[in-house]
Amino acid sequence: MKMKAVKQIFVALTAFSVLASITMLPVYASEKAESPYVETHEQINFDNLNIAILNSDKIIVSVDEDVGLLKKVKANTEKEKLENYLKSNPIAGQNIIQNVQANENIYAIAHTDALVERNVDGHWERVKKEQENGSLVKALLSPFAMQANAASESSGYAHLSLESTIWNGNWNGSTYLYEINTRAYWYDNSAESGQCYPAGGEDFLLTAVPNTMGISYDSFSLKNANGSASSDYRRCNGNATYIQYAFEDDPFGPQQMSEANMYLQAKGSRTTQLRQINSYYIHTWKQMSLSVGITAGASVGPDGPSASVGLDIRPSIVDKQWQLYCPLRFYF
Amino acid sequence: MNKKIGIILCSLIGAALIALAIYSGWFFSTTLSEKELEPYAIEYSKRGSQEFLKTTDTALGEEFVFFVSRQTDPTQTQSQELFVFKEKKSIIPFAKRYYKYTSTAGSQMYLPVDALWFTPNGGNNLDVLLQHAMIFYSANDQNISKVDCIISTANGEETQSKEVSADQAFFLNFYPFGNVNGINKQFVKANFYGSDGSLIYTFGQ
Repeated sequence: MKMKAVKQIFVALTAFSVLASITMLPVYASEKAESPYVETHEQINFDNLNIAILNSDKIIVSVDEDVGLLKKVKANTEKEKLENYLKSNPIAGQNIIQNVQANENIYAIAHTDALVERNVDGHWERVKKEQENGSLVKALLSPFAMQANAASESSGYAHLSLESTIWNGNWNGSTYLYEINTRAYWYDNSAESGQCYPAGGEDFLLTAVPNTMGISYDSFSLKNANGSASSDYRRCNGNATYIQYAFEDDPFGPQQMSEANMYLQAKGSRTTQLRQINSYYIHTWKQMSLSVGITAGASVGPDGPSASVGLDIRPSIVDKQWQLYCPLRFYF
Repeated sequence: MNKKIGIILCSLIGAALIALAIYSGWFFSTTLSEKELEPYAIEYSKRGSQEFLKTTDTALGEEFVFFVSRQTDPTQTQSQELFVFKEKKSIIPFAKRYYKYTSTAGSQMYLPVDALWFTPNGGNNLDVLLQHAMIFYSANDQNISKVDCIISTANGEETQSKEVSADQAFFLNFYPFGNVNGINKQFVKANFYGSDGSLIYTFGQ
């Protein structure tokens, strides 16, 4: 009888402590969007990670040892993801260094990486999953697995990465200022490929925030493959919920776009509800316009529903474009 | 009834004592005492350093202990070395223990001075304004004696100067950067000078 009572108490205590630990954990995870194309999506949460920068060129990641065991286990997983991401994508690392040294405190990064293939008429086309033919594509899926020229010139493959970052902003007691950066960049391609294979038409970058936040500021920058800044962009649409920019992906090499950056500030109340920021890249090879519809609601991910605003993007010419989507989920 | 309550109470106390014993075991086995910090640094030194310069700093409310290798590198092929330990928060009173926060041992090529940017009150605390620190450290084989750190604020640039012994390893901490009383302070660059006033090294823009 005694033993039974002791056992029951132990079981109850254990169950309680496990449940308490789990419920205290933030509930978010990466969402794997169903896509017919070859792409990868991942979210890295910087929760309980300490980031140090050595000599402005190396990121040292460590786990905050002052948190509970389960949070530490989760943080270790995120640390591993971040280290792998940095290893495979040096451009992302440089961006993180710049942000951290500009006094920013990164909260989470989500990125979707798409494999694209140079089509017979010269434009970049998404690679469909059924096209995936063994080791070549698998090798190419590993970013920076090959040198830029080797990848683009010999195989005709490249990558486009769409990355969203959210930083901890300023909390003034009632309103929180969220800072969001959406960045699209090509890699494993080269300026030379653009010279030979023009891709006409503007490309588009759009970001939508949940309707519990309101966009109060936005800016944009564009970089060419030769590293120079470009002013060939325009703000086509924007309100408190979403912002749309259009920019030239120049067909003739030297002005080939390599990186587009959209920076947003959004104000809102803090909440522990899971929310989602949605970003979209639309690559076109013919001049066209976009019609954008807004659908507010809940997006369902593996970690449950999250409040978000989705964009229903309808290009005027459907078969001369493709889209890349990157959701970023956060709970603060 | 009383017997039942007694059993429950004893069980709870017993469970709490077992939990405390497990926690203590884990806590002491995963942390280091202050005396164990330097031997740890010696053991994991990539420069084979047997001597370290120790600095304790309680910047921004957290206690850190820094160990800079005094071992110079005549071949100039190895990076400077720094071990950073942080005091571990605990429920056990009077148990001052530390864990390795980060280290830069064996990480990169030689520079006269290495620089580490970090956030002492980091870890994604949403309710405080995070502030950052820039640390400079060196075994000082180039006999640096003065550092000028240039900081950008809303009112323009300001210079903070610090002096060090030209014949000894040094550790210098410049902070805070970030939002300080509503003013955004940003690190710009640091100039390192020898005893004769000559510029030895510049870090930053």
